Amino acid sequence: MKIAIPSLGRDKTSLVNERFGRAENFIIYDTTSNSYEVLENSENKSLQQGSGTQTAETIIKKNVNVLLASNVGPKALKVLELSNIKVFTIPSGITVEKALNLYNEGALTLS
Amino acid sequence: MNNSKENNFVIAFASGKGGTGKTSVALNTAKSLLNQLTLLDCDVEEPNCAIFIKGEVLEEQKVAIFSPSIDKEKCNGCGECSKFCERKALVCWGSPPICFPEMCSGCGGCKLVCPINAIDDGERIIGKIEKRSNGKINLFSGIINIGEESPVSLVKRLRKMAPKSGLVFIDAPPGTSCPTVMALHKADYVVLVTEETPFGLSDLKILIDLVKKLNIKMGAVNNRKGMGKENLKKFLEKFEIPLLCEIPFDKEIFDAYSQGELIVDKNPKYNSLFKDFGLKLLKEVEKAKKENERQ
Repeated sequence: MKIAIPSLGRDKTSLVNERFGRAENFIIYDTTSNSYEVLENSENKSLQQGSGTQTAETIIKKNVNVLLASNVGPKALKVLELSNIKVFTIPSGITVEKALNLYNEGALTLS
Repeated sequence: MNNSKENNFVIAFASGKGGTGKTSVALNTAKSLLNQLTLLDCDVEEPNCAIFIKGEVLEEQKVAIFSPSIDKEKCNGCGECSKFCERKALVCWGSPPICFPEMCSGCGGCKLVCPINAIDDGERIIGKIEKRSNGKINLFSGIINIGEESPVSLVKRLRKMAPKSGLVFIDAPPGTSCPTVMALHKADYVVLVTEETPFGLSDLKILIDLVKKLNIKMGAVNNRKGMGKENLKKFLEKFEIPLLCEIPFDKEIFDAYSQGELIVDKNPKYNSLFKDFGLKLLKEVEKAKKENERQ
């Protein structure tokens, strides 16, 4: 299973990004291989409009199953829901690793 | 003045900065002139000419733009439409795309690039045009629906309401972005309504650059003379733009305006001021048209 988290930096110690569509990077954690991948979001980030929905499209194409994010706009959320990606809300200001821990503990609620 | 049948005089009132008096100058001038004329209120996000041209709506038409209608049976989810879409109104990941109509500008590009013709013409209403008349002035007001991102298509449709002959005034939107470009595009003359404030002149400079690019002749009106400390005359000399009229900073004008009245109907002094300006303006426009024809 793949879990995506918008991030300010490029590894699991980075802080989560409060923004979804205009996040710099996404960290994608693969639970099967226990590995991390960085997905750069610069192209979607700099769109005039539609950053949210385009980022959702990118994540779907990466075969992500779960998204942990602080804020996802209504349009992007609609796209994610239609592709059966589960979106959980995380608090801002925490690290990517902490977000994953909260998810594993079952401490997060669906957006 | 207007002998040929396919010959109209299109004069746009623009300002760059908002609130300098485009509507006020256009309406007062229109009322003081004896000519029959058509007024197009292209400030479709806040059309207010109708407050002053009283009368009921004689005609109303809805304005719709293209919106993709996707044949989900036919679509193979190739994603070419979504890739092409500049506004990113289409999202696609291997299945028929999801469309967010409110993000679509109606360009129709998705329909053109679809390799299997799975996109048909749909439509979406973005606003309406209302017609009013006081016998002398035929007013067409564009009204964009709340929440629409771009009023350009509505302004474009509004421009088509101009008759082929006679005098046409355009009340342009403030600013210098796409809707303004559409309102000024192919006008015969632009009246720069400005004020002697730092903001007034700063935005005026941007507007002058735009009007030059559109290759339209222009003249300026100093509205609320005496309010600001900048020197408009000196500023205009640099650009070789004539100053056609100076309207004093007079509370009486605002008192009338705030009650939905025009100063030309209340004070004969101002009626003659605007009439003189209007006649001068028509001469300038005639001159500009002749020069254009020669080119």
